[in-house]
Amino acid sequence: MTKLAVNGKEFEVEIKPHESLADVLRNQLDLIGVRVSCNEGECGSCTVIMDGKPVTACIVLGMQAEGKEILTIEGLGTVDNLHPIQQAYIEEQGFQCAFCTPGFILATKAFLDENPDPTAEEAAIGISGNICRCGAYPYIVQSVLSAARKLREQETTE
Amino acid sequence: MLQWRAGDVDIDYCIDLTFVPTLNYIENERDGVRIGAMTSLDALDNAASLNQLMKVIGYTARLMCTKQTRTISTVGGNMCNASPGADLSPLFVALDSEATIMGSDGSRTVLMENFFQGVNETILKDEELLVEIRVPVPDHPREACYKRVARTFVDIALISSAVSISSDNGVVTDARISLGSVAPVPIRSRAAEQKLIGSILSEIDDDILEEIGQLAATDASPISDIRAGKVYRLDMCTVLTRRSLEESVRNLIRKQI
Repeated sequence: MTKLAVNGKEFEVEIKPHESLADVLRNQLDLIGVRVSCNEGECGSCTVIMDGKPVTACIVLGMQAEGKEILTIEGLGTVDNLHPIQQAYIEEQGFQCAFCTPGFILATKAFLDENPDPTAEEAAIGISGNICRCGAYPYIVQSVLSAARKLREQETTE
Repeated sequence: MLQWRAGDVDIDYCIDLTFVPTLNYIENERDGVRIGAMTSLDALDNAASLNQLMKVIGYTARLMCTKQTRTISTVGGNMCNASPGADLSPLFVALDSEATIMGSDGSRTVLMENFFQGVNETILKDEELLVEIRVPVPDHPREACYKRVARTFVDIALISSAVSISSDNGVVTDARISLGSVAPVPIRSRAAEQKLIGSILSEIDDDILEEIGQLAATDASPISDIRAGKVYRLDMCTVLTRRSLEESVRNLIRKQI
């Protein structure tokens, strides 16, 4: 049995050597917000945050996540208590079909943790590891900038 | 992992090095930088402010794949995959780097120039492991630059050129020009290098830059494939080498003032 720390909770799961972290999270922990699209680390759809860094969960082996802190979209906010980044994506309509959105939001979180006050260009480069097939990019960049403002405001009021 | 999943490689045993922390380091020493094989590309990017050598290595790492895959992918993996289009390979060759290889009989070092043996082939024998890349600091001031042509940020290089030059009192003492995606392995352009050594930095004008770019292209033997044609690759070989050299010369002159 392998111990995984996901969204602040400890789990014990049986992981096969070849199983990807994305498959473990989806199939064993029912965290279906981890969206697998290309399954080869190209599209960023399955992005989760592992020990503070964004990773494409489809090309991380489940066993490689042992002892690491994992954050998926399910651990970021709830319907009643949205995370400021989620709020920003809704307000700025940073999606169309929304399949890629969990990956975008987690990539945004990791990016803003490193760069809390980005320019539009920096924001575009920051989320360049994610593909949106609907092409909502201009709105996504606005969402990142809006999320950055919200997080900075939150910081100053706290 | 992708090759494994696609069934392109047949593995009986697989030893995961993720949990070997002693292979994950960037050590800055007086005579060079030592990079552990399990250091992530993201860590190279983050170390770009460490010194001038890491600046060009970190900049090159940032060109590779995406943020969320740079956090997973390692220097050792990139080298051992031995793709002719790998971004770091020509740079490491131009920087005169060497690989430390460990096996059951002890360890040995080989120049990165000799590390690559073919497409996806390295000098590693069975039961051997790449453990470190060492990038030396030369006796004289050096500047290096890596440039590539790729469709997008996350694309693989269609063609790339890395230039490293050292100078003493305004005269080029050493020059290394390495080209990627023009042969099964990253190659050096000896003709272009020989032309450069002994040149006076301030006299390297547009004509000389162009001539050196052309010389580099004569040493290249690219193929036409789905991503780019041979003629285009040769043309870009000249252009990129010229630009890399121009930038290196400019920075080196600035450094000496």
